[in-house]
Amino acid sequence: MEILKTLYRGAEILILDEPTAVLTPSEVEHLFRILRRLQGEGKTVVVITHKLKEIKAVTDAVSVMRKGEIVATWPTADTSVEALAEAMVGRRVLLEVEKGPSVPGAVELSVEHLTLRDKRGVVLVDDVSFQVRAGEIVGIAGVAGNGQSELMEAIAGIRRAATGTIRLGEREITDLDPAEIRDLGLAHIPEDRHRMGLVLGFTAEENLMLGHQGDPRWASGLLLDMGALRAAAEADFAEFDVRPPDPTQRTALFSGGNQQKIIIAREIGREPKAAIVGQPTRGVDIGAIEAIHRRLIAMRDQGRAILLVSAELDEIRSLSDRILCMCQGRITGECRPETSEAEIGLMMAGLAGGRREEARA
Amino acid sequence: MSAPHRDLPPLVDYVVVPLANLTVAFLISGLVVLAIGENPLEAVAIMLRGALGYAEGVGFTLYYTTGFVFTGLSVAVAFHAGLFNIGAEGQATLGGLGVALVCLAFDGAPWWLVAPFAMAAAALFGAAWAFVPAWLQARRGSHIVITTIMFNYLAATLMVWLLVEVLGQPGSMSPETKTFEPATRLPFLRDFLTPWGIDLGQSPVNPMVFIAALAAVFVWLLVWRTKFGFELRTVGQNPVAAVYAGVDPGAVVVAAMLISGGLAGLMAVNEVMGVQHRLLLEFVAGAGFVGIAVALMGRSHPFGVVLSAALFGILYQGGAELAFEKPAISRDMIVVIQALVILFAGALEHMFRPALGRIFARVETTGGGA
Repeated sequence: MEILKTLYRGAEILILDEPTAVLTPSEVEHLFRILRRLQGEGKTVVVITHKLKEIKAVTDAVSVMRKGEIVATWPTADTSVEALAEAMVGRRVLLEVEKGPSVPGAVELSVEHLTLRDKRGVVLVDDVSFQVRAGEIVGIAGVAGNGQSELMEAIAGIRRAATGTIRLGEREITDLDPAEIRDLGLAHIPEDRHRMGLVLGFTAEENLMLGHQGDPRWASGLLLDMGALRAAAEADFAEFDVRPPDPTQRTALFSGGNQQKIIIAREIGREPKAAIVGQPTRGVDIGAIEAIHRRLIAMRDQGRAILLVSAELDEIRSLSDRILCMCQGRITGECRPETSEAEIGLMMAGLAGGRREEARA
Repeated sequence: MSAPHRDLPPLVDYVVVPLANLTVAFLISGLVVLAIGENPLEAVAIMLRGALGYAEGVGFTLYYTTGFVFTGLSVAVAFHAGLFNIGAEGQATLGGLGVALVCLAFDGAPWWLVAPFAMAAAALFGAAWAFVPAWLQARRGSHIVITTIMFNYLAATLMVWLLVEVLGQPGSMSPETKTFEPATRLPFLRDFLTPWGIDLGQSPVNPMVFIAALAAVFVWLLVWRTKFGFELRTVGQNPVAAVYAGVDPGAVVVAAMLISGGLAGLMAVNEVMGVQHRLLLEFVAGAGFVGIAVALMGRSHPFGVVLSAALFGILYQGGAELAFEKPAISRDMIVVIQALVILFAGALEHMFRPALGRIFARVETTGGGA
């Protein structure tokens, strides 16, 4: 719509900032076809994106910005995705996550016939069932706003289920509150770190305590042991390479990637049984993406169960061992990560997979 | 990130910015004084001399400051939980009822025995008066600003009824309780200090000034050094994150208001047990509202609250002297200055912040380059 409006006004130069964030793969392709046509009509299009594949797909020339400066400008045809990534980070990065086959163990997280409704009774999540085993990453693919967020909130205890059960290990957690569920060993990396995952006005070390404010390491006495918190924060900062290495700085002053590292240090640094992970790399620079992906794989290899929700299909495909597609609150299909993007895209739109017949009916 | 978005150094944040706001408030007050045909510099000199120039003046200043510290801390604690408690006035009024009931029940007993119970009753009654608005906010979503304002009126009306119909003395026309026995009254500091050669004159400052200092330390520890304080600040700054962190915002709202009401209630011990020695109408005399200005100017930090309470203590005592010496300047002048301070320290708090931020960013860059 925004794009149409601009065109209607007869713009000569079109600047798009992360235009594909809310689109399905086929919609992205459609957008790119429009951009190509505009280029043919002699318009100038500037695309700002962190998705390297899009740059290769649609641009003629590319500039890489790092720390406020343009560090490289090339004709797109002369570059590779690897070279771009290297220019962005300043060192070589591994784009494909290296991971061995998963060794699934016992079921750690199971959701059965879960239905969620909002205050007005509108169904948000509709009879969803799935299991996540120890040592596997299950990805949920879907266009934003199809019930994934609400599903995560229900598992974390923030939202009440209308019907259905949620189990963590053997224990039913459907009616527990977020603090109890966290104590039972569920880590939760929320989708929106600014809205839910962090208190931006707090120092970084205070945010490392968020949700763990009762941890006996610092809360055993009447007063909080600030020395113990500082020591833990410094250890977390070193282990997760948070920069600048100053846990007393206000959280709002860290970059998106480093804010995300603070959340990840807090949530998975405490050896949880299972984790629900939402948009772990949204708005995060490519160097931090690599580090976060490695962490998640390492966690899987240690035998944790991970449920991953992401709007980045590439991320879902490269990290997950199994993929569930969600559309309008229902699971519309399950597939292997090798499945083609086009086919997953169809499932995300609710048009393919096991429920194709139903969707048409 | 680029320089202007960095945090200001704490010194600038907590000292320079409030000072800049205050200076502007005073400059404009000076213009008002000029407009009514008096010399503002002379007025300032009279005020400072009246508030700090001699021992009795200092005693009065400390007495005013004591009350403002309690109400300022009360508003500050609620602020940290994201609540604007306008009701310190009414909570202090009810606190006075608690103090009076205890003092009348133990009338004649020595003050050091009665004082702990009087303080407990003051805090309890103040907290109870804050509980209903807190519960309505937490569970029913009624806005706490509205409900606490209404509870101020309810407190005033309740007090009239109690003093006329229930607690008033038979045969007396004035709506007040009987005066407490001298033994039960809090002693004045002047009685201790005269032998040491310090003459506090008639100033009513009493041991509650030390309790106020302790309360400031207590609030600092509570807000920044306890798990509850952490949860309180989380609810105040990001209620969604609080739920995520396993905190029930409603429970925190109620607890914060109970503490806030309790602190406001303690103000009444200073007034009822320390100075008036009886319960009378409107003994709070606006201290609950001054507490809002004190908390705003002190940026809700206990140390800042103590400093700004002292400033308002100086304004009240110095203003009284000023009104006495310059009949053209009435005590309402202090209300004008108070309003200007609230305007600049509260509503326009961010007016000078960006400019100061740029100045300090520049100082730091040039300093780093040299």
